[in-house]
Amino acid sequence: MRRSLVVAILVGVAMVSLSGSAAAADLIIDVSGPEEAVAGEELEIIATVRDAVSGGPVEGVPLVFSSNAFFGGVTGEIRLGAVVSNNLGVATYTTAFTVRGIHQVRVEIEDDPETERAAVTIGVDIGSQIVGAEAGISIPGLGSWFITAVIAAVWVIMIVAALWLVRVSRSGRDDARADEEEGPPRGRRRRAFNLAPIVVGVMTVLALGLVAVLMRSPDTHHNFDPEGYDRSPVAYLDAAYVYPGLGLADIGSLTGEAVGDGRTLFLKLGCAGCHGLNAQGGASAGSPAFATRQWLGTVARTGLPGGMPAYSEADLSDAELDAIHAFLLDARDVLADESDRDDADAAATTTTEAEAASTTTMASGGEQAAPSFAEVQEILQADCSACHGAFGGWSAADYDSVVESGDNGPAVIPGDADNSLLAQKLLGTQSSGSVMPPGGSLADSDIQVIIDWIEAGATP
Amino acid sequence: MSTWREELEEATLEPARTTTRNYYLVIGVLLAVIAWALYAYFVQLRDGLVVTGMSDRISWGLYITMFVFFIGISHAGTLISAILRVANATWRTPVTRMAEFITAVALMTGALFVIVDLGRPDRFLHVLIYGRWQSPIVWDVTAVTIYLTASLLYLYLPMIPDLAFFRDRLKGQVAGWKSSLYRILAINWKGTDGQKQQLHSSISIMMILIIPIAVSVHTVVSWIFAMTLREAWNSAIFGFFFVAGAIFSGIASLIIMMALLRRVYRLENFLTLQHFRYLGFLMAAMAGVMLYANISEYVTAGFKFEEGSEFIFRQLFVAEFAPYFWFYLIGGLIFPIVLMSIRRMRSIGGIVTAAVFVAVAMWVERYFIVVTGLRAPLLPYEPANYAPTWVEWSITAGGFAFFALLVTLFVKIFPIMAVYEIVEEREGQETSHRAYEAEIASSGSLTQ
Repeated sequence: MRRSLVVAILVGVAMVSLSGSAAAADLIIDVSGPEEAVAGEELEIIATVRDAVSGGPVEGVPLVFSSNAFFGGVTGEIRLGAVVSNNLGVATYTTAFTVRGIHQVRVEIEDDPETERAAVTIGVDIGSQIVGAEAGISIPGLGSWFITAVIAAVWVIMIVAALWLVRVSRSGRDDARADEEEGPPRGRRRRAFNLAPIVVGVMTVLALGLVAVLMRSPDTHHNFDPEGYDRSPVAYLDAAYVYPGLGLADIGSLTGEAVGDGRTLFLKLGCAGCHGLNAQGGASAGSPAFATRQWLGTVARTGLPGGMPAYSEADLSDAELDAIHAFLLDARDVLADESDRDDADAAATTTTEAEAASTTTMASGGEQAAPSFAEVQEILQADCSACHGAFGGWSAADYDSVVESGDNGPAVIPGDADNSLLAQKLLGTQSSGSVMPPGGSLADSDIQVIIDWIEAGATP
Repeated sequence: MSTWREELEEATLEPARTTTRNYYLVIGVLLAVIAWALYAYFVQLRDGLVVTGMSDRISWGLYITMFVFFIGISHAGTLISAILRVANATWRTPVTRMAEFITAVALMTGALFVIVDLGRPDRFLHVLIYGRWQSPIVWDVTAVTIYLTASLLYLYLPMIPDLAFFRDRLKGQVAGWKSSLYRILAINWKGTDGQKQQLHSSISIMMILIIPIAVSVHTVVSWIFAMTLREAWNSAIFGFFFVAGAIFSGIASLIIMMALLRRVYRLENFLTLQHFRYLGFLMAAMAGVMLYANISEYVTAGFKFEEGSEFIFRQLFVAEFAPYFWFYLIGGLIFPIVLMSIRRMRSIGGIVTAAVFVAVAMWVERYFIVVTGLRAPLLPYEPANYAPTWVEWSITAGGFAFFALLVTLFVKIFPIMAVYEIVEEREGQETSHRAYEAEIASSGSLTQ
C-alpha cells in the first residue's frame, strides 16, 4: 500500500517534470518560452513558481536560468542569469541567443541541489544579420573556363606569331642549301642549330603550364569544402561599433595634448579592446571613465582577475597614466552628455512601465514585503564583486562582510539608509571618494531594493 | 651605298666591336653593388623578413614599390614601339630598339622583386600548385609571364635582320661565342622577299597583341591594390591611373637612357634634338593625363570626405607623406609641363632634367601609394609605421644596378639601333620622294 503510494508519487513527479515543470520540496516551477526564435532576437523566458500544496504563487524565490552552450565543437552549460520571482510568482529572464541550433533553457532554484530542473526548448535560426556577408558579384555561366579561354587564345596568337619564325628560318636554310648545291661540296657539314622551333617550344610549354594552373583552379581548393562541411553562417554578432578613425577632427592626438596622447595610449595599449574605443565600456569590461587617478594607478599596476593586465612601470609610466586619466576625464563628459540624452528618451517609457507596475501591485492587493538579504546580496555580488573582495576592503561575500567590512566601515547602519555608507556610495551622496559602481551604473530599482532592505532593519 | 647609311651601320657596330676601360669600370661597379645586394638578400633569407622594416601591419614596402615601378617603366617599349608602329609614326625608328630593351630588362627586374618580397621564396611554387584564378597573385603571374614572353618576342622579331647584319659584318672581328650567338639568333636571315614578308606578318600580329597585353599587365598590378580592402586604394580609376603612370614613367626612363647612350656611344647624328622633343611633348601630355587622374581621384574622395578618407588625406596632404606627395604633384607633374612649355627649355638638357624629375617622382608615387594604404589602422590602434632597413635599401640599390647591368650588356652585345627599320623607312621616304619628283617631272605641268 505504502509502496504503491510512493510509486504513484514518483510517476506523478516524473510526469510533471516531463511536462516542463519541476517540483522541489513544496515548490513547482513551470517554464515557458517561444519554440522558435531568430538569432539576435530578444525573447522572454518566463518561469512561474507555485506552491505544490495550495497552487498559489510563491514570491521571492531566486531562480537560476542556464542553457546548454555549443560553439566551435565544444559543448557545455552556461549560466544565463538569475531572477527572483515577483509577487505573482513569475520570474522573467530576457535574453537573445546568438548561435544557431537547439537551445535548452533550464530553470532551477539557486543553491538548491534538491530542485528538479524545469526546461524549455527553443529552436534558434539565423535571421538577416549574420556573420559572413554575401559579397561580390556572380555572373551566371562565367567561371574559370572563360578566363582560361582568354589566356589560351592570347598564347595561341603569340605562338602563331612565333611560328612565322620557323618559316623565316626554313626559307633561309632552303636558300643556303640551294647555294651549297650549286657551289663546291664542303668537307664538314654540320646540322645548324635552329633557334626558331625552340622559341616555339618554350612558348608552348609556358602556355600549357599557365593554362593548366588556371584550369586546375576549381580543383585546388577542395579542402575549403570537404564532405559534410557546412559553410552556412552560424553566429550572430551584435551591431558593429563604428570606428571613428583617427581623423583631422582628432587633431589632439597629434599635437601632444594630454587628452590626445591619452587616447592614443588607450588605443595603443589595447585598453580599447575591452573598455571600448571611447572608454564607454564593452562586452567584457566596464567603463573606466569614472576611475579616480589613484584607482587607475592601482588597477593598471596590479591588474584585475578576469583579464585586466598589470602594466609595469616600464610599459606604462606614471606620466602616461596621467595622460590616460586626462583622456578618461574627457570621455566622462562625453558619456555624461550621452546618458543625459538617453535618460530623457527613457523618461516616457519609464512612466508607462511604472503605471503598469502599480496596476500589478493593486491587483495583487498586498503591501510589498521588505527585500531579503539574498536579493541584496545577489545585486551586490553581480555588480560589485568584480572588484570588491579581490583587493581587500569592503566585500560582498556574506552578511557580516556586507554590513561590517571596509576601510570606512561599517557600511550599513540598520534602519538608517541615509547614514549608511553603502547607500551613500550607490546614490552618490557620499562625503568622500566617488560614486559606486563607477559612473553610477547600478539600476535605480536595484538601489531601491538595497535602501528598502537597510530601512527595514538590514536583516540577514 | 649612301654615307648616312654607312655612318649608321658603323655607329651601331661600334659598341660590339670596341670595349673601353670605362666599360669594365661600369660593369665592375654594378657587379659590386649587386654583390652587396646578394649579401643583403642572403641575410634576409637566413634571418627572415624580420630584417626588413615590413611588419604584420605594413607588409609591403620598397620591394613592392620596385616591382610596380619597374613593371611601369617597362611600358616604354610598348608605347614607343607598338603604339607608334601601329600609328606609323616614322620618327620612332631610331629609338624603338632602346625602348624595347627597357621593356624586357625592366620586366625581368620587376618580376625579380616579387620573389625578393617573399620571406619563403620556395613557396612561390605554391602559386603554380595551388593557384586559383580568383587570386590577384595568379592574375599577376599570368599577366607578367605573358607580357615578358610577348615583349621578348617583340624585341627579337624586328632585331632579326640586324642580327643577320651583325653576323655578316662582325664575322672574325669579335669573339667566337658572339659570332655563334649572332648566327643562331639570326635564324638564316637572308633578307629575301619571302622572309621579309614572313617577318612582317609576325611583327604585325605582335604589335597589335602587345598593346592589350601591356594594358592588362599594369591594370592587374593596380588591382593587387585596388582589390584589397584598404580605404586609400578604393578607387575605380586605379587601373587607368597605373597604366597612365606606367607609360609616363616609361617615357621618362627612355629619355634618360637615350641621353646616356647618345653621350657614351656618340649617337648625336641619329638621336637628334627632334627625337627628344617629340618624347618630351609626349611626356608632358602624359603629365597632363596624370594630373587629370589625380584631380579626378582626390576631388571625388575629398568632396565626400568619408570617415576613412580623413586619415588618408591628412597623411598625404599635411602630415607624414606630405613632402613626397607635394614633390610628386609639383615636381613630377606640373614642373615637366611648365618646362616643356618654355621654348628655351626644350633643349636636350631641359628635357632630360624634366625626365629625371618624372622618374624620381613616379618612384616616390609608387612608394607612397604602397605604404600609405597599409598605414591606416583597421582596428583601433595608432597608425603603423614603416622605415626601410639597410637590407631593403641594399637590395633596392641592387635592383637598379641589375637593371643598369642588363642594359649595359644588352647594348654591348645587341644592335643598339634598328638599322633595318631605319634604312627601310628612310629609303621608303626617298623612294616616294623620287617617285613624286618623277611624277612631277613627267607631268611637266606642275613645274611650270
